Amino acid sequence: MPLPPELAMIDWAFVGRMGASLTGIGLLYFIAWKMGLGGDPRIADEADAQQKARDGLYGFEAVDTALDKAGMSALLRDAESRHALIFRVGNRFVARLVPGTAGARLDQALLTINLHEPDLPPVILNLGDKAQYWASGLRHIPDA
Amino acid sequence: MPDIIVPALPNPVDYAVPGFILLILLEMLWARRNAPDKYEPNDTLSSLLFGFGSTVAGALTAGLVLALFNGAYAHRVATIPYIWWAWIACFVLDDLAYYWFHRAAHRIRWMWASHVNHHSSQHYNLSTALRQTWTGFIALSFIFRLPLMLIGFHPAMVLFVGGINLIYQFWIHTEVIGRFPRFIEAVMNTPSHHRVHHGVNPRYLDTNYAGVFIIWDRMFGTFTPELDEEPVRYGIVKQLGGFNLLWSVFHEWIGIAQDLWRAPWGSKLGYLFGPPGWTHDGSRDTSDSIKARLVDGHDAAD
Repeated sequence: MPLPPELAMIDWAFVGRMGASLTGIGLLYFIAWKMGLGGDPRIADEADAQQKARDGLYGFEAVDTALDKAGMSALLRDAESRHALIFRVGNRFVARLVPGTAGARLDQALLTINLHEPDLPPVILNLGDKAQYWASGLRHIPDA
Repeated sequence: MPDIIVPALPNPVDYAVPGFILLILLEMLWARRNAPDKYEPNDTLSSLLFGFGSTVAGALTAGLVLALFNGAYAHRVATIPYIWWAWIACFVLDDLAYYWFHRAAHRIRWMWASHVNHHSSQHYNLSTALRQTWTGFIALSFIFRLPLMLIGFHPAMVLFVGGINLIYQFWIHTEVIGRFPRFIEAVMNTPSHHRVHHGVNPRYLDTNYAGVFIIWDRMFGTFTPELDEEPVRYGIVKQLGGFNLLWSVFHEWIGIAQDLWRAPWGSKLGYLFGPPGWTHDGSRDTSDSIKARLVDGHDAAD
């Protein structure tokens, strides 16, 4: 039976290739996940956080550093009172300068920083008894 | 102008796809044994979906690109015959065109908004090679090939060698291979040279634009060797904060739109056609300002 004209216009070979591609993509993702690739890296210490800030923000020299208890993120301040936030994305780390427009919420030892970026959820740092000190510092960042 | 008869040529990339998948699988096995952090499942998924979307976008615009290529060929200055030396000449000149396209794609924000997709992973593995743009047509990437048709190469020949060029560039996206003997590294684009191209270390930014032959970078002053004492860090100057696919694809275009909206009238063109990071008040870094501060100034990088 011939295909209806609207279906006959479709390049079925292309659709088939795309279907096979999507299947292959799903399979490779599953295999990577099943193999346990990626790992679970953490920020080792203050020096590691400072190096990540220096690399990620091209010369940011921290004078004060606070590590998240789990090593998933860090907050740093330089001599000009700029604040840098280091956080994990996948198994790599990303650095951002914290702008004055960022939201910061303190809940005992937990400091939540919202950079208001579309692809980035708020970053929660467990800073222990340093949390209040850093929350206070964030209140004094001028608006970008 | 005499016409030549060119047989229907396949898209060589279609035939290479199973090989791509197999090699990614082999590299994953290598990573599991040697360096599990070289792959991250979400990053891999993201890169592969970039490739999928790029294929769909390419199919949607293929007719327009072909029409433009045929239009240029209709105004050619000569008719290059369909013989063996024409294939070699076409391949080499297409690679030269690729060099200039690629250099422009890093130096002009309008084109970078598209090409940034290929660089936005912090990983460098074979899946990164498939991390291709969805917006190449909007970025006008095709215009760099038009001179080949104007010279007199048949569009089918240009598209075929372009496919071969793309296939060559797949396997160099790996950290599995160190360096080749010096005579190969001198002429060909290799994993080592291309790792540098994907680097965000200040000294590596905006270097090694080659597709197949690294000689273009050596000729035009954009070559930088990979240094053992400076391991490459991959990605973009402002790394992505997540794996949201649509944001990853369009974030620089959205950035352009936001900058255009806010910019003073006299500086709007700079946000479109200036280098990535350019601002009218100098408030952001460009690759040039980073290099000037951290490489030429021998600051923190040393």
